[in-house]
Amino acid sequence: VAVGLLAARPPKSPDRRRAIDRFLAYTLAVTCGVGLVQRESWPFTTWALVHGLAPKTARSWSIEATDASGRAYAVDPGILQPLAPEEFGAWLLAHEAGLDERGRQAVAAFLLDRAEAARRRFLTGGRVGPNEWLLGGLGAPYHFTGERRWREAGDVPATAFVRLLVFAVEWDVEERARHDDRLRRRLVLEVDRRAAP
Amino acid sequence: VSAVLAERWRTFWHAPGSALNLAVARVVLAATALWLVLSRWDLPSVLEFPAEVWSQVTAERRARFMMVFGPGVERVLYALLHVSLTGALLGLFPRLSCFASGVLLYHFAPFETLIRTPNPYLRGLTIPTLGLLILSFAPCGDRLRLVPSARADREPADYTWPLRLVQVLLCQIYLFAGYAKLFESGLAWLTADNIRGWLLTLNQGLAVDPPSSWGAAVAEVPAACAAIAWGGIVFELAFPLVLFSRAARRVILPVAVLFHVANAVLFRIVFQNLPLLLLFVDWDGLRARRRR
Repeated sequence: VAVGLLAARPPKSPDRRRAIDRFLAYTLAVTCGVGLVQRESWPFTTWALVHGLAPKTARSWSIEATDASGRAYAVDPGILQPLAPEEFGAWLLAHEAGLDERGRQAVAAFLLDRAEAARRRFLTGGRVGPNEWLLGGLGAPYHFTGERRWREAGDVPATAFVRLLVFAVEWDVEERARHDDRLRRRLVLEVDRRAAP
Repeated sequence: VSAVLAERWRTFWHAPGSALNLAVARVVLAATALWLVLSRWDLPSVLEFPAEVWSQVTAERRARFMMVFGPGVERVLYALLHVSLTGALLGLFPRLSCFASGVLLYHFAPFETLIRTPNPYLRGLTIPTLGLLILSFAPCGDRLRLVPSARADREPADYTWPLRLVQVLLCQIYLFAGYAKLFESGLAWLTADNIRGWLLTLNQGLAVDPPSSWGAAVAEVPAACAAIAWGGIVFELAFPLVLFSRAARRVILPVAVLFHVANAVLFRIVFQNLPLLLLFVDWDGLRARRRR
């Protein structure tokens, strides 16, 4: 910014062209340097994407919630908006092991509250998360576009969610290509309001 | 040699340029950023996520992005970002609006990813952040502004270098995306098996019914996977040719649109900066041709 402001001198200022050239050279050096050595320094960045070799084993996560009758429903990750699901998922898979019981309860309770608010919103207006409030379907999608889990009223219960479970999911990519149900699920977060006094 | 290089530098950065093209760049950058922030209109609310979610964000990272306020102040600043982007879009105090937008985008873009990484690239706001700051250092408001103003005595080259610089940054997205693949994985990235693996992994992770996805279907055709690998990397590494050749623009820009559509359909990866390809259009030239 400082080098740029120096380049923003009024026309006819002495050394103006030199200040502009300095700004250009600085910007090129920093952006190319970061790209070449592939070390993040945002807003100068690596632009690396899907640059590694494809993993043999993949990891993801899912949320499930139940109503008072005990029927389970998949929860749409759009409940996390404005946070993108992949950001929360990456955080969860990286840090869930370090959460103590209180932390697990806090995160799970937060998700249950959001899932319930989203369920009510979805049943009244059709939106899952808040992002679409203004631009509707014309809003910008996230970088990684997952599909919606909630599409019609039957995808959510008519009554409140009372229990929520978050699973870490792992699978062998080639095995799942042959049998889509070959997943290993591990419960990482749970909150159950039925058990509350 | 140095004289030749100096002359090439001069003709690339300081050739006579177009006030209209630079103003269109301002409008396109501001409109793209505004579209993104309106699509995440409640972004400051991520600060209200449980403390556990934010516990790994260091004080250094918070300081780096000036993330020191509570949700209330951040909501006010976010509203200011909307105002400044609208100003940049409409040409109201254009340079000041571009500068304020760039600074506020630098502050807010990491909100999207900071719980896991301070690098919010490919979320759509990186080029608008840098681009609007660059434009604020240049006469980007001499055209396409609501309130006309007396123009200072410009050199025609004043309109060239800022647009060129933003175009270079845009080219780096493609160039370094291709470079990163070879840097990280070498030629092994180019195998059909690797592309098959990515098609399957991304669709298994993101699709509700992975076997019925287009990505899974293409993954079963090794020749298609090999074509995607080689075609993709050649396209990415060749993209900077658009800076030097009008003929290259005519070929590469439409290919870029197809590339991003294919990425969205097959890999489920959306490039929110697709509208920024309009920065390579010579609007002044188009206007002159229409007049003839």
